[in-house]
Amino acid sequence: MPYPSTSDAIEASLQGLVTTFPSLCTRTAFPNTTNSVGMMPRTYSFLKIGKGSGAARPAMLAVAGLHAREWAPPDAAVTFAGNLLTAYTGGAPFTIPAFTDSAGTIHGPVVTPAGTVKAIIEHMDLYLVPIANPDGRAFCMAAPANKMWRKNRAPLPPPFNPALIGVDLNRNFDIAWDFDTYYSAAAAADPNFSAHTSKDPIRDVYIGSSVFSVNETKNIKWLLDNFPITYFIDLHSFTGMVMHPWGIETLQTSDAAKNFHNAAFDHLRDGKLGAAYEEFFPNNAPSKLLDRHNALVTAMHDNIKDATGADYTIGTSADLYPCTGTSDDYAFSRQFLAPGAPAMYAFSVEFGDASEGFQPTPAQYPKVEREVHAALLAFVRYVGIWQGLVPSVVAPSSPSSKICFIATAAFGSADHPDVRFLRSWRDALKERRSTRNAIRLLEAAYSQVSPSIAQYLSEHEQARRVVRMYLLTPLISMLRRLFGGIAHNAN
Amino acid sequence: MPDLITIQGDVASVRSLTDIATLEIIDDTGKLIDQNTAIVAAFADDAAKAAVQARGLTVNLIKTEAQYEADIQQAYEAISNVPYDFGGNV
Repeated sequence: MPYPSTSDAIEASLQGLVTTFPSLCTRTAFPNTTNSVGMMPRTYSFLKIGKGSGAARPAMLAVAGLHAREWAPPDAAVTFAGNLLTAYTGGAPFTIPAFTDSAGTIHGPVVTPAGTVKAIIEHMDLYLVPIANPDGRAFCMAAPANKMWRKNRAPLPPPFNPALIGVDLNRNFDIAWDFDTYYSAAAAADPNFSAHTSKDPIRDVYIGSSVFSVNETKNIKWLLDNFPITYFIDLHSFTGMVMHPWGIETLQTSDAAKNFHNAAFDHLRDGKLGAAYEEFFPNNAPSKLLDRHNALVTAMHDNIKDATGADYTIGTSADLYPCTGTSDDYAFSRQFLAPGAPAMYAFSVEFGDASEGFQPTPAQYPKVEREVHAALLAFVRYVGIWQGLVPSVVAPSSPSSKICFIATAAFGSADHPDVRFLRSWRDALKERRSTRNAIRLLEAAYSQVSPSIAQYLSEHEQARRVVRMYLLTPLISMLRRLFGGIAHNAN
Repeated sequence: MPDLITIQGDVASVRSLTDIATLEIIDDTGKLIDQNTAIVAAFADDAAKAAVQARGLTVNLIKTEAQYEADIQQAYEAISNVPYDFGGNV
């Protein structure tokens, strides 16, 4: 296993993907090379995955490695691409293998059906930037003394000072970047903000000399400017959080005047000091922006929990801490500055936990990798469902639904009373120590075959009727007679 | 000897920790557990841990300094310049 990969190895892996799957992906160099102290300018690339073309294809952008020291997400982004393309080519599901946690509990496997993989590849475009800060990563990996390096390696404006190198890329995007103008003086000085965002070049969280002052952030902007991307996700580590905007403020859905580009509120916004100002987050139909953001962070959380048992926190970026100039807030904000722009959905995820840290050991990495894959699969699957490209009947709607693939397909809904009964019966047995492992093993075996059966059923009414009449109805009747109350008497 | 710890407790108290000299909070690790409770990762020596606990905050040891350094060493030793192999041409 190559983890942790150097920046060069990640770039070579992208080329390897293009060589292996030439009809399914392309690699394109960014227009701007890096510009780093003591390093040659580096050309680096993004990957586009998708078969076919057309203006109606939803386009998603996943970015990893903005912060140099966060080693796991870039590798996991590369293996996600490889596993997705391998699954498609083989007509197979994308299976995240089962994981045994430190308590001996088995989680997963998490299976994304072959039909969903096919829909993703054939009807959607996925842009992937696995390493957005290649020189920062190279510096960080050069010696253990550099292990906490976060920024890029750009020289700061003259006069040159060797102690002052680099910009925090995830503070350099054009969203409330000049926080002294955006916030009140008290909010800008609030330690909960100033600990995480700074105009002092020596700090890890230095915002840069101007908005988009460095080539790495210019390149992300270029991607968003030149491709019809309406779904964005930024992959970080390590606090176990799944987040959506806003990061600049707490949010509200009723007062459209309170928005980041309304100069009337300059110097008045209060960050997280109070509720006098909260950033507008529209939730009106048909986009239902907030509802859909909440649905997708929940889906990512659930898929991660299914995969490894890790219970990530769900929230807004400001729940982590308020900050300005971040990639997800920027991507999200663009729709409000261009009249008629399509709705944009943006997310960021902090993978892992403190024991794994910024640099998981090779033994720890497979867990984090599974969590990255689980989040990305939920991300692309939900985009597909919203776009009507992925049949929701086979898309798990909750962490406990995968054993019910076939029942869901046969009854036509995950909310059918008989499907709910099966789920609760299964969940109750999983809660019991005496039956937990047996059910998990059964579930693991079942989930290998059930998605393809469910896919078939979803397309054949006659088969659904047969399965309902001769398999599920008698089975459910028997279970209700034998164990009717079990779901209410677990533990 | 700084160990890797997490600190959990009420938000205001966690925010006030910046005055403890030998406590190095890792900038981007703070998060809210609920409206009133925050958690943050930090490097701390024994004095810093005691000072944190004296403020009513919960300290959990994640790794001793020795374990942390050993893990970092493992990660560095594994750095690979070999690209992933996705099975060759298909």
